[in-house]
Amino acid sequence: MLQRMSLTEVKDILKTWREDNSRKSDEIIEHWEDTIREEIDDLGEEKWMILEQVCVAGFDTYRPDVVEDTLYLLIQQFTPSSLRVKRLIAMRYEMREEWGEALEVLDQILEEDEANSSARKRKIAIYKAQGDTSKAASELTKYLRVFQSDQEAWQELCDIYIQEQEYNKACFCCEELLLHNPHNHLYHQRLGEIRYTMGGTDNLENAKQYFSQAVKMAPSNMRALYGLLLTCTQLATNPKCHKKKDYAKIVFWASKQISARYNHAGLTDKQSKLPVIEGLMSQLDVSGK
Amino acid sequence: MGDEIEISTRAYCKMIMHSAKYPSSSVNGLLLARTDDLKKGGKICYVDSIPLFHMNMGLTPMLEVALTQVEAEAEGSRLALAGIYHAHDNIRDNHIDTFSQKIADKLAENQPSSILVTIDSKRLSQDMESSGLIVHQHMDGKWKLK
Repeated sequence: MLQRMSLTEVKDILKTWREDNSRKSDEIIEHWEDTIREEIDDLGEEKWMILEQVCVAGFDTYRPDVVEDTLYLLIQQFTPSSLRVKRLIAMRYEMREEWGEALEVLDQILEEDEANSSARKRKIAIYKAQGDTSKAASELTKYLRVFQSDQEAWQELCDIYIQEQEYNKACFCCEELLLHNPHNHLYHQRLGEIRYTMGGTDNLENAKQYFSQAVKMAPSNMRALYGLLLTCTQLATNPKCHKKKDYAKIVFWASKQISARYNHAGLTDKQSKLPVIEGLMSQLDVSGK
Repeated sequence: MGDEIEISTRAYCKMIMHSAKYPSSSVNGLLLARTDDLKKGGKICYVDSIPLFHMNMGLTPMLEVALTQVEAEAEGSRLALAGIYHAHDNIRDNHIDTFSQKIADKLAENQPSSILVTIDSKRLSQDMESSGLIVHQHMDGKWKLK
């Protein structure tokens, strides 16, 4: 359980979560019940943002009581004609799974303000919740044509395409993310994994490049190291391969890096990890290094 | 005929806790059973489960690494990979997606009576009336609901 924290501490934590966009709904509700609910009027300028944050946490954890308390105050202050409040009303319908009513409210928002990105995203979320992934994907594509720099949306679309096994399109989304964040090793690693999943020599070559880049940026990225190991082993054991020696070198290097990291983490029990690497290395030996 | 299936408390709790820890993501993991049980046939007890992923599901490289590592580890303790479990992020979604099916088929190649467990998110709550699991077992080349 949380210790009794001061209002200022709670306000700071909530602010950090708002800025990071973290999904800590359980904790937010706890803070609401322990601290904030009694001292609403002392919240100052952040009062309405905090109420909105708690309201959304209430939707996420299915707490209609919290939702009613917070939404009531917001509606009183901003009237139901405020677009931000309307979005919360739509989300309340979503919570109750009354999809039709929710979509109606969201369409009303979009009539007033066509460029309202949050309403469009809520609609996409509704299609996803209903299980209609193809509709969600097509709406999301339409959305991204207008809002091309919305990275959350590109990530969501990438996930949807991986789920639908449309790996080419998933690669495209991941590449867009990379354009916006060329120094993020996680996106390089992700693209490497998608390419590896697609299979085929060209994709494996491509995957190797992405994994190498990820490892270059973040030498401790275990997934990228393993990815590099797997990719190069597969490339080296391909009967039509010409550059076996080069791939073998990378495999040895990667396996040493992985062993070093395991040792570093104190898991010096070599037996647990060697089989993975041994298995892969023996494949290389058989093919004639 | 159909093998009787028992899922140990340990395996069950780990599965449920894994899905509880990540309520808004899809999760999956592996199930282990004793090699002796599997050879004998009859009742199979799934003694342990190993949670695997809650992000980036549907991608193969890390899955391959995981399968190799778990298999190697299990062999040391006279256990074998005998099933997988998965849960969807959508509470009403119980279908078996292609990726999980492929993994299950691959496992079944090596272990004929493998099981594929889908966690039924709707039935998970603080007071559950049933186990909340949908179990398919691989028998005679097909997946049958138990």
